[in-house]
Amino acid sequence: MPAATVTPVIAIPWKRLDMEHAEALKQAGIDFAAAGANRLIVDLSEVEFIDSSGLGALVGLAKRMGGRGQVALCGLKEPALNLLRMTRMHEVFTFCNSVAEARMAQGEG
Amino acid sequence: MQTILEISSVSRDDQIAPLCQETRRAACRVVSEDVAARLELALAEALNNVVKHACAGTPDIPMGVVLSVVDPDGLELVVWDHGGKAFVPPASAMPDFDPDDIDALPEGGFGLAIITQCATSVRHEWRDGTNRIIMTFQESRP
Repeated sequence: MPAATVTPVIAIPWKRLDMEHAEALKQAGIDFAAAGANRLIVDLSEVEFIDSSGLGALVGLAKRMGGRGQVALCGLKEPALNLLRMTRMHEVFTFCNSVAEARMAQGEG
Repeated sequence: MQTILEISSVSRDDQIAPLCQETRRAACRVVSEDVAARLELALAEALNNVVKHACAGTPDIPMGVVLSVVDPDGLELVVWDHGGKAFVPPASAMPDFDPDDIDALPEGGFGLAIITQCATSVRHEWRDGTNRIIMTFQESRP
């Protein structure tokens, strides 16, 4: 029996998802898409600040995965969540408190 | 008007975070966490613009921040650079999009709209080879 496909997780290691780090995240999305992924879980529990460059990188991931709700953002804190609301990009992602919760939501728990 | 912080650096992306963090710490002594968070986000966007546009292609141009108290619960934030060409904000409406049209989602173009949304007022000046974006932040009043 083939192994069930498990959604890849990108755990952001930085406190700030900003212009300095956005390119690395964009590249990760390109690499996962090239490897055939169409869903991603992004663990943002370490992140305290997101600017428009970081937001753009997250949107890039959503585009690479090819559909609304294909990228789950986990552990997002205020005020980063405010940025997503301010720009309406909260409509593009799903939100979970933890990676485990995201896995449960996708039937992988 | 009392200046409470004056810091400068050079136009590199790794210099933005330290400037933002130090400015936020100073802002927190005067305004609420919520206003300080808005100020930090607007500052990051303004400095991103300096690095990406005003000083594009020429690294290590001087840039800096001046934070002043303008009334008991208000702050003025000036971001300056010697990029040598005027930073003139274009239309600053938030990009519109259809969340179901995934391929057309905007990955950029939010910076100036975010500044407009976060600050109480924004204006731009170019004088004697220095660009300045001048923002004010007030506690929101009912």
